[in-house]
Parts: sequence; structure tokens; C-alpha cells
Amino acid sequence: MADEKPKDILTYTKWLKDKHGVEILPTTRNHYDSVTNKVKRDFEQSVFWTEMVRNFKTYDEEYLAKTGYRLFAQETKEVYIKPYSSLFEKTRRKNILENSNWPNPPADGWILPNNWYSKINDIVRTLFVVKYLDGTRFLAEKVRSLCGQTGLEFKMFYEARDDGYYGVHLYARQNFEIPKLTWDTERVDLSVEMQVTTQLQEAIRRMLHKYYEGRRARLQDEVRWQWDYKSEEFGANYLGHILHYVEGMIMEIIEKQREKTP
Amino acid sequence: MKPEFVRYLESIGIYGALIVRIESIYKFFRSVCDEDIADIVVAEYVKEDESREYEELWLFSTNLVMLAAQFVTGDDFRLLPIRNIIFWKIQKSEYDFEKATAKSRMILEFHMPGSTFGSIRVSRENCDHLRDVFMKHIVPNVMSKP
Repeated sequence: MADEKPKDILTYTKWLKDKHGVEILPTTRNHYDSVTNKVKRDFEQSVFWTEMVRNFKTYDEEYLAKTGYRLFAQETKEVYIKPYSSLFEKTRRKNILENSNWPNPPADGWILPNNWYSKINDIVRTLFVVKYLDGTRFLAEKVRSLCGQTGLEFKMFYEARDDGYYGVHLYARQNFEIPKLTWDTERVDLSVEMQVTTQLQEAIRRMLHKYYEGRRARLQDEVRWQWDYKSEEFGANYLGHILHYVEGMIMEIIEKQREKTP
Repeated sequence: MKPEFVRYLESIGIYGALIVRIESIYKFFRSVCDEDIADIVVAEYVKEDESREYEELWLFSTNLVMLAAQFVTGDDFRLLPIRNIIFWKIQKSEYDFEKATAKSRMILEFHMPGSTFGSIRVSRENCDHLRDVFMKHIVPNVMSKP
């Protein structure tokens, strides 16, 4: 019984206390707000981000000269903070639901309040929306280059999930000074996530977001969504896959036309 | 804004544009609150480079407590009655509750029914100010009967 997986947020909160001696108090959330707002401000004022924003126009013009199309579908300068409830839910997913080592720690160790700023890589994030699929790679390389110039660790993942989600996720890891729960400050390495997606994917993503959030919190269903054609996930997720395929086709046509053009 | 508020803000290193910002928040709360705002507190902490990071602005009247969270950059305003405080908690460091020094630090937490609570963190001479606010607005509002 001691190794039974916590089934919901309440039992997860109790498990954190019993197993790790970590009490989730109202002040835990306050502290999260305090830390994330500080990180967001510092990131927005960082050399990397100010350069990035300054370079948007140059990137756009360079892509235009190369392809004949504008790079960005919309201007993006907003930096977002992951809501505390989403962070907490994500730690439950990593520690419990998706932890194949249970009851032992996940491969990267337990995610607890004392390390979640450095272990969760999308606490602070932004989103770039480009017009076409090749714009994702173009922009990713620009971000990689800028990270190199500003001395930041860079990581890139091409996300392609079963549930129809596609996007390029870029991570710039920086060192931030954050307040502790009491009066001192400490330094942590924290990744800022930059998602790069296409205009079409972004449109559908807004529609599908609730499915991603809701599904990820659930335990395994008896019937997989791929077979449950009456479920909301069936239509929504396959729409994501189809759209990605269509975008690939669009790129192929564009590139063939480009080759034919003398 | 009351001159004593400006003097307080200047005493903790707040000048110019930030005072203008606080003045606008003060005006907002005055427009939605019938009561005179008796005291304000700026929650803050000291960073590695010894400068201050300002977090929230707290405003107290006889029956209400108002909060402007992350007031430097955003408009996130809250207001609630300050009565029936269930318990309070004070954590302090190098502070004798009489005269703060440059090393003094203090955190005040006060909890009300329904999981509502406030947490104010201050440093240096701001500890004396928070102590006074605590004595004036928190202590008299502690619920004496269940």
C-alpha cells in the first residue's frame, strides 16, 4: 500500500509531505509568483532577449530575401509565466503518472519545490509564430546562433507527439538570481522555453490546448483514443496530424516552384 | 498621496517614476474604497548587489487590506476585509523588534478564514515600519473567539 500511486492532487500533496517531508503551503504559491515574476523581468532585460527582439526585423528580411515570403505570421514579444497550478500538475505527471520507475524516482530524479525551477523547463516561455514550416528551422538556427553569441546553453527538440501536437521547442538556459522562501536570494540555472510553430498549427493549437491539458492529467484509459472514434480526442488529434501533413505538402509545392523558377 | 507615504517610500529607496506609479495605485484604491488609507507597506528583499527588489504594495485602512501584487510592472489588485485573523506568524533575522539595522529581515504572515492570507517580506529599516503596521492593523484584528 505504501507504494500505491497517488491518484489525484490531494493524495499527491499528501504523498509529497509523507514521502519527502515537503509541505505545500499557501506560501509556496506566493513564492512561485515572486520567483517567476523576477525571472520574467530579468529575462526580458537580458542581453539575449533584447538582441532577439531587436533582430526580428533582420530575420524577417533575410527570410524574405531567401524565400520570397515573410517569416513571421505575427509579432511576438510576450513572455509568459506558467501558472502555478499547471506547474504543480506537471510535477505530478513527471513524478507519478509518467514515472516508469515508480516507486523509485524518475530517471532525472524527483521534482520537488527545491529544484523545480531548474528541472521544469517551461516555467517561463515565449512563442514565435512563423508562416511556413521551413520558417521553424530558419528561426531555430537564428536562436541557436544568438545563444552561442551570448554564452547561453542551447537545446532544441522537434516535438511530434501521438496526440497531434507538432512544434519546435528551443531552450536557452540562463543563470538567475531568485528570492528564497525567507530573506536571502539564491542562484539557479533555469531554461526559458521558446516554442516555434506555424500559423496553421497555432490556430489549431488554441483549439486543442484544453485536450492536451486534460488528457495529460489522466491515467491510462482502457480504450486508446486512436480507437475511440466518438471521443473528442479522436477528431482533434488527427486534425493535428493531418494539418502537419498538409503543411509538409505546402512546403514541397513551394520548393518545387522555387526550383523551376529560373 | 499623503506626505508621510512619500517620506516612507523615499526612506526605502523609492523615488521618481515608481512614486508616480504608487500614487496611481493609491488613487485607484481610493476610488473603490470608502475608507481612508491609513498606512502603506512595500514588500521587498535585498539582492546580491545590495539593491532592493520591490514586490508588492500593501495598503491598510481601518477595516480593509489592499494589495497591488508585482506592482512595479503589472496591475493585479486585491482587496479584502481585515478582521477575524486566525493566526499570524513572524519570522525575523537580526531584528530585535525595536530598532532595525542594515542586516534586519522580517516576514509577516497573517491568515484569515477561507485560506486567505497575506505574506509581507521586508528588510533593513522597513522592518520597523512593518512592525508598526503589524501592531496597528494585525494585532487588534486577531479573532479572540471561535
